[in-house]
Amino acid sequence: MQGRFGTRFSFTRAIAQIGGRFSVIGAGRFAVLVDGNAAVSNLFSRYSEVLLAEAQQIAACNAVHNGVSRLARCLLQSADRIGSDELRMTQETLAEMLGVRRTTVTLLAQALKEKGLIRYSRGHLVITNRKSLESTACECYHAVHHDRLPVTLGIKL
Amino acid sequence: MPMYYFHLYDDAPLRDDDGTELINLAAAHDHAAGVARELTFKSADFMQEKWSKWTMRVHDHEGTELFSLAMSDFEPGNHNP
Repeated sequence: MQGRFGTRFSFTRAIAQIGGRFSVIGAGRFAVLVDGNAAVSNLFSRYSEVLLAEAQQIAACNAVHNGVSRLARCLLQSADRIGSDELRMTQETLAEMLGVRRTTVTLLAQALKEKGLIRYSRGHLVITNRKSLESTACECYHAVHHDRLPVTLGIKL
Repeated sequence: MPMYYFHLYDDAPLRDDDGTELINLAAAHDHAAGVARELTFKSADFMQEKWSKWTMRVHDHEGTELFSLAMSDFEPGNHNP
């Protein structure tokens, strides 16, 4: 995102939360690519709009929704992104994502486990009842669902 | 630094088995209150049970209970202790 304008100061530090395969391109080269290609430039603008809407929804979510709903939302979003209901995420990572203490994540996760929605051991979490987890999640999960948000905004990615 | 374990009880506990390293008992009290506020934030109940049914019990590494908190004290709208 921030390489769009070439090499300059990055506002954020991105941390990969779950391992996988990544592509890398230098910021300068990326800027040239985007500037020189209308289709890429267009896609980039549309993607930026989706990302902004998602960030706004999550900011609102953190302010008004309770811990269990937010944890459910966070787990579902992560699972959707990696295309698997098995997540290699620590409770520390989830605590950072939700802006709560690690103890709080432990207790919330125990609650989800008691309800049969997830099971987990050290750093390895599995969604066992997706349907129920989706109804436990706050409305934000459905609002920012990656299949639906672009459509909701009237954008084709 | 000592380890403290923050379990949440109604009839049976939701257990904090990993615990948190904290400098002393006062820090454990602060941590417990912080967790209680995070759990009750925008939350009228927990696992379909009123907060009045829940108690946080804080244990040391030997499993001895050090103190407890009534979760209803942290309910939205109540004055936090």
